[in-house]
Amino acid sequence: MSYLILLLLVGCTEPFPIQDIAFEDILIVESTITNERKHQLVKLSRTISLESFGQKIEDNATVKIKSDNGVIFNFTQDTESGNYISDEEFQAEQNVSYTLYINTSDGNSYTSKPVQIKAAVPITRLYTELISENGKQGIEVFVDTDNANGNGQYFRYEYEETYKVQLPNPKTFDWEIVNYNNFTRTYQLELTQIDQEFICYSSVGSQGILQASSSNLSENKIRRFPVRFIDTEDPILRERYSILVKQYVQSLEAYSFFAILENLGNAGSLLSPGQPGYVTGNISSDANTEEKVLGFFEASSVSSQRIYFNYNDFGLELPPYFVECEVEVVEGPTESLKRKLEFEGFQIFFYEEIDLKAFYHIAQSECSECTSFSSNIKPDFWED
Amino acid sequence: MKAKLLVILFLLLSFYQMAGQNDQIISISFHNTPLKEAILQLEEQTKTTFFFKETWLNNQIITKSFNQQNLRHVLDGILENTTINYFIKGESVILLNNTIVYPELPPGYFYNDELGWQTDRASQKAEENQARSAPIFQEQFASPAAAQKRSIITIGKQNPNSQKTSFTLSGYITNQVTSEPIQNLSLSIINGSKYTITDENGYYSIELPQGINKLETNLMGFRKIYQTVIIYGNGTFNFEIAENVEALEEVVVESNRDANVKAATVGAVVINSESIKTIPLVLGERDLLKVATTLPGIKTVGEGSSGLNVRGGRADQNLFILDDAVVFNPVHFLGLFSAINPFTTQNLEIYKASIPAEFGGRLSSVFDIETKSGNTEKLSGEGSIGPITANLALEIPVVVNKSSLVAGVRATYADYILRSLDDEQLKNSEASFYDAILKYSHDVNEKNSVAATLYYSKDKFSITSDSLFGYSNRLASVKWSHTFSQKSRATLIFGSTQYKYDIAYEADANTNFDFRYVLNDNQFKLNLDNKLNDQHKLSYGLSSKLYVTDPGTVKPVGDSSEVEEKSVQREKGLESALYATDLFNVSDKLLLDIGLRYSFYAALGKSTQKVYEEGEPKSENSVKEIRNYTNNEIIKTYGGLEYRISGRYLLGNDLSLKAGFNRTIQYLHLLTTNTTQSPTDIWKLSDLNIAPQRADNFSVGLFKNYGENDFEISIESYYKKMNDLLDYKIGAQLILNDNLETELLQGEGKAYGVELLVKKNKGRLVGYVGYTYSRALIKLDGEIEEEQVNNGDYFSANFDKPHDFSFVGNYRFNKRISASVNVTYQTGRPITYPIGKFVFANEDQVVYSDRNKYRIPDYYRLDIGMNIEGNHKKKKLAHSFVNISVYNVLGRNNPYSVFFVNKNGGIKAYQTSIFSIPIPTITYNFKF
Repeated sequence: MSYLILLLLVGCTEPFPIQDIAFEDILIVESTITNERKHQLVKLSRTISLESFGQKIEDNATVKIKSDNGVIFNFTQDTESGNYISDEEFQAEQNVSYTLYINTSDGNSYTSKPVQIKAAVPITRLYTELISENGKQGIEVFVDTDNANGNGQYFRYEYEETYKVQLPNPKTFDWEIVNYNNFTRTYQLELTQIDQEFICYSSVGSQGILQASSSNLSENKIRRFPVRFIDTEDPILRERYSILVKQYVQSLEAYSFFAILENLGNAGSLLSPGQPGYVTGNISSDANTEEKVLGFFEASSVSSQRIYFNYNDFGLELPPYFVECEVEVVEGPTESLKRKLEFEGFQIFFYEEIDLKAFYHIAQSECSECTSFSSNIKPDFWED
Repeated sequence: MKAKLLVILFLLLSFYQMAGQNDQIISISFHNTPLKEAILQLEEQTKTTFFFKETWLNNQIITKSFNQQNLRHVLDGILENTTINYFIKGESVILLNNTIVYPELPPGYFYNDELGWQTDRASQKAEENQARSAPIFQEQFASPAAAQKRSIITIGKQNPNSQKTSFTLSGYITNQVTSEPIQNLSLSIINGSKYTITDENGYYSIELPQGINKLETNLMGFRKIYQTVIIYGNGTFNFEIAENVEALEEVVVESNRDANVKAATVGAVVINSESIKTIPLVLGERDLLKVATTLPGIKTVGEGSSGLNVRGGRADQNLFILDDAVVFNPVHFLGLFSAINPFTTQNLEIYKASIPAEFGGRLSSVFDIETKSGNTEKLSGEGSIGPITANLALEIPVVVNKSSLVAGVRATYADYILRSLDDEQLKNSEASFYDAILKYSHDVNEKNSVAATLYYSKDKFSITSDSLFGYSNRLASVKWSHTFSQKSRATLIFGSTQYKYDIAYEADANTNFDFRYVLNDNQFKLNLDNKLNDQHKLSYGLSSKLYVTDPGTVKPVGDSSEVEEKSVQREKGLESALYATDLFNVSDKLLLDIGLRYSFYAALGKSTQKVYEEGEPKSENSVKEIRNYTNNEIIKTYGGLEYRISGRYLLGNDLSLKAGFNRTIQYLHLLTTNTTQSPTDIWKLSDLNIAPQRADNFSVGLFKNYGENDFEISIESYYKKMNDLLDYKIGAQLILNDNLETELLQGEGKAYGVELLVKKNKGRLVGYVGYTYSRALIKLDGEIEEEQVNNGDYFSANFDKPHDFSFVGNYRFNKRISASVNVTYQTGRPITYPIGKFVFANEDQVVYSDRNKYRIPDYYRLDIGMNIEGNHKKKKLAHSFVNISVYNVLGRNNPYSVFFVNKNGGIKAYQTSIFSIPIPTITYNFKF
C-alpha cells in the first residue's frame, strides 16, 4: 500500500485537453538580423486560440528597419512563407543601431527599441560523443566556445541537421491507370521505366530555444554545451549525418526575453511551478501603451560550424529504417492494387510476368520515393 | 430543585434536634497532643460522640489546658487555628470543615431564588452589607451536575465577622500523572467574569467573591474540571488534572476556551497535540500544522506547498517559534508533513491578529510551539508506526521531581520504498526526512528553573535524476526563569537557529555544481512580568537578534566542471526591540491589552551596495554609485513603533466584543519565483535598496458561549493593509544574483475577511464548523512600465481563496471507538492562464493572461477516520491506539497546479494533483 502512496506522493500529473478560457488577439514579432549579408527576415503573426493549430500570419503589414546612420531597409511579404523579407541584402554592422517599424493593415503601428550587434564569437569546437542520458544511449553534439576576447557572455543556438537516406526499395516505374471501367472495374496499368533514385537528403531545422551563458562559468568559456541528442536507434543515423550549428551572440535583454519565453514553455516543475505571466519584449504599440505586443527584434552576430559523422564511427549497429517496409507482391491489375497505388501511396519497384500473369512488387512511398518525405537534391555543401 | 428541598428538610430536622444543649463543665489539658487524640479524649470525658473525618484532623498538634470550661469553650480553643467549625447537637458533636451551621435561617432564605442574591454578583454588590453579614447557605446549592464532577471544597474558615467580600484563591495546577505544572490553563468562574491563566509553573491566583464559586478549568488536552469552591478567606488550593488521554470525548481543537470570550486577544488559538489525535490523517501523520489549516483564517495554497497563509498574509509572514527559537521551514517534503513532532509537543499557540508585543519580525502571525516538560517521576513514552514514518518519543526523569529529558525522533522509510519501484524516474528519486528533538528541563529550586532545547530536522529528495535537494533546520535554545515573588518574574532566553539547503546537480556536462544557502539567526531576549495590582499586569522586555545569511555559494563538482566558484556576498542585519505590555483590567467588563514595541533594524556590512538613479528601472545601466561598507558598518537603518492593542468588552456573562489594532514590521523577506513556497527559496534581509514590509491590521470579533461552554460561537472580521511587499518580475533570476534588487518589485497588499466558527465541545459528537470569506490582493504599481504588474491594478494573490468551509467532527460510539470526519471546501486558487498561442523559434509558445486572472477548479475533500483505543486495563505494557484513516474518500482529483509545456513543438496542458484518489492508512500508536 505504501507503494501506492508514494506513487501518488510524487505527484499525479496528467494531461488534460487544453481549453480556451479567454482569448486575446496579440501581434507577435520575431526577427533576428545578423552580420551575414543576406535578405534579412521579419516574421509577423497573431496569436491563435489554444484549441486551434498552426500559425496565423499577419498579412499586408508595412515593415521597415531604420539604422541610426539614416539607412532605411524596406521589407516585402513573401507570398509563399508569409514572412517579410528585405528588398535588398544587407548586414547588421557594429556600432550601428537598428529600429524596427511595423504598420499593420488594421492601422496600428509598432516600434521596437533600437538594437545593436555585438562582436561575433566563433565556435571553437563542435564535436560528438557517445553518451547515455536518462537510460538511453545516443550521440550528443557538443559546442565549445572559447570566446577569448571576453565579449558576449550570452549565446543562442540554432542548428540544421541534414542526413542521407538510402531507400530500401527505390521505385523503378511511374504508373498510370488507363481505361478504367466503372462496371467491370477493370483497367490497364501503364508503366514507365525511370532512373532509380537510391539516395535522398533530408534537412530539418531546430525547434525551440537553446541558450547558454558563460557568465557563471570560469574563463568566460562555453564547454560541452549539448546542442542535439540523437538516440542510437534513430533512423537518421543510418547513413551519413551532418549538423550545422549556428551561434548567435545575444544582448542581455534578448537573452532574458528568450530565456523567459523558454521558461514559460517549461513551467512544469512538478510541485512548484514558476510564476507565468505576460512577457514584454522590446516592441510596443505607438498609440496605446497598454496594448499587448509580444516579440523581440534582435540584432546579433552569428557564427557557424558544421560536422559530419556516421553511425559506424561510434561502433554502433545499423539503426532500423524509418518505417517497416512492407514489400508486397500483388497479382494485377486488381481492385486492391489500384487502391494501394492510388490511395495508400505504394510505389512499384519491380514487375515480372510469370505464366502470363503480371506480378507487381510494391512498397510504401517512405521506402521507395525520396520526394514523398525527403529531397532527391544533394545539398551544395554535402561532403561524403 | 428536588435535591435542594431535601437538603433543607434535613437542615430543618437538624434544628429540631438541637433542643438539648450540652452544658457540661470540663477540665482537660493537652501537651503536644495530636488533634485527633485530643478529640478522642474529649469524647471520653464528656461522653459525647464526635462526628468528623479523620483527615481533617491530621497534622494538628494541641498544647492547651482548660480548667472548668464548658465544651463549647474547649472546642473553640482547640479548633482555634484550624479550619474546623463544630456543631453540638445533644450528645453528639459534629465537626465541620470550614462551615458554620446556623441555628436559624436568614430572613428571605426561601426566596433567594427569586432574589438570586447569592449568585448574581451585581445584586450582591448592591446588597453588600447584607451579603457581608448574611450567613452563606450556599453549599447546598452546588448543583448536582457540578457536584458530580468533584466534591465541593471550602477555603478558609467562615468567620461571621468577616468584613471582606472577596478573597484570593491561589495554587498550583499540575498534571495528575506526571506532576508537571500545567501552563496556560484557564481557570474561570462559570457565571462571572473572573478569569486567570496559569503561568509556566502552573501557578494561578484568582480573586473570588465570598461564598460559592463555580470554577471551571480549560486547556485542550486536559480533562475539564468543574470545581465548586466556597471561599471564606484567602487560601490555596492545588488542582491535579488528568490528561485527556483515554477519553475521546474531548474537543478536537479549541481556542483558549474561556479565553474565547474572556481574554483580550483577538484571533488566538491553541491546539493541543494530544487532542488532535482523532482527526483523520494523511499518510498516518498526526500534524499540528495541518490541523491549523482547518481553522478559519489559516490556509495553504494547496497540498504540497510548504507555506501557510494567515489572514491574507504571505507565507513568509509567519513566525514559527519552537521553544523560543525560530524555525524557518517547519515542514518536511514540500509541505506534505510538518516537521513538528506531535508526541513531544505540548501545544501550538497561534496568534492570527493580536500578536503579543514580545514577538516581532513577521507581519501576519505567530505560531508558538512549545515542547512538553518531561515527566520527572517515571519513564514514559509514546510512539507510532505509520506507512511513511516511525516515531518514538520518551520522557526520562533525570533527577526525580526536579529534572527530566524529553527526546523524540521521527524518520521515514520512504527511500527504501522508492528504490523498489519500477518507474525509472521514481527509482532514481530519493525522498527521506527525519527530525529529532531533545529538551531538558530542570527546576533548580523554587525560584529558578532552566530549560534547554535542541532540535534538528533534515530533508533530502530528488525530483529529477540529476539533482538532489537537501535542507535542514538546526535549533538550540536555553531559557532561564526566575521568580522574584508571586507577582514578578523574569525570563532570559537565548536562541540560535540555522536553516540551510543545498542542491547537488550532477549531469553529464561541465555544469556539475553544488549550491548552498545558509541562514543564521541568533537572539537573546529578556522578559519581565510584573503584576502591579489587580488592575495592571505589566510585561516588558527587550530582545535583539543577529541575522547572518550566505545567500548562495556555488562550487564546481568534479574535475571537468567549469562552474565558477561563486558566492553572493554575505548579508548581516541586527534587529532589536524594546517592548512593554499592560494587561489593564479597567472594569469587570472592560479588559485592555495595550502593547507597544519599538523595533529597530540595522543592515550591517561588510557589503557592497549599489545606488540607482531614481525614476529609472533598477538595472546594471542605472547604477549611480557603488558604496562599500566595512565589517559591521551600518548600511541603512529602519525602525518604527509597532502598536499591539486589543481589548475585550463583556456584553454579558458569555458574550463579549473584542477589537484589536496591530502594527507589524518585517525586515526579512522570502523570495520565491514559484507560486508557492518551496524549500529552496531565499530569505533576503532588508538593505539599502529593499525596505522592510509593514502591515496595519484591524480586527474585531464577537464571541459567545452557550451552556457551560458546550457551544462556542465566534464571528471575527479583519482588514489588513500591507506596504512594501516583495514581489519580482516575471522570469526573475533570484539565485546567485548579485543585483537582486534589479529583479524585485515592492508593492502594496490588502486583505480582509469575515470568519465564522461554531464549536461543540461536549457530548458524543464534538467538533467545529468554520466558514471564512476573505480576499487577499496585491498591487504592483511602479512608476515605470517594467515595474508594473497587471497595469498597476490590484490583483488576487496566489493564495486568495474567497470561500473556505471546513468541518471537523468526532463521534464517540463508546469508550474505545470513535469515528471522525473532515470536510473541506475552498474556492480554487488563482492562476495565470494561457490566453492564446503562437509560433516562435519554430515552436508553439503560449501567451499568458494578466497575473492570477483566472482560477483553478474549486477544492473539496472528505476524509474519514476511525479511532480504536486499546483496552482500558490498568496494568498493561502500553496503551495502544489505532487510527484508520481514509484521506480524500471521494477521490476528488483536486488540481494543485495547472501548467503548460512545449512538447514536440506543441503545447500540452497538465494538471498536477497530489492526492487524487482515496488514501487509506493505518497508524499504530502506543503510549507507556
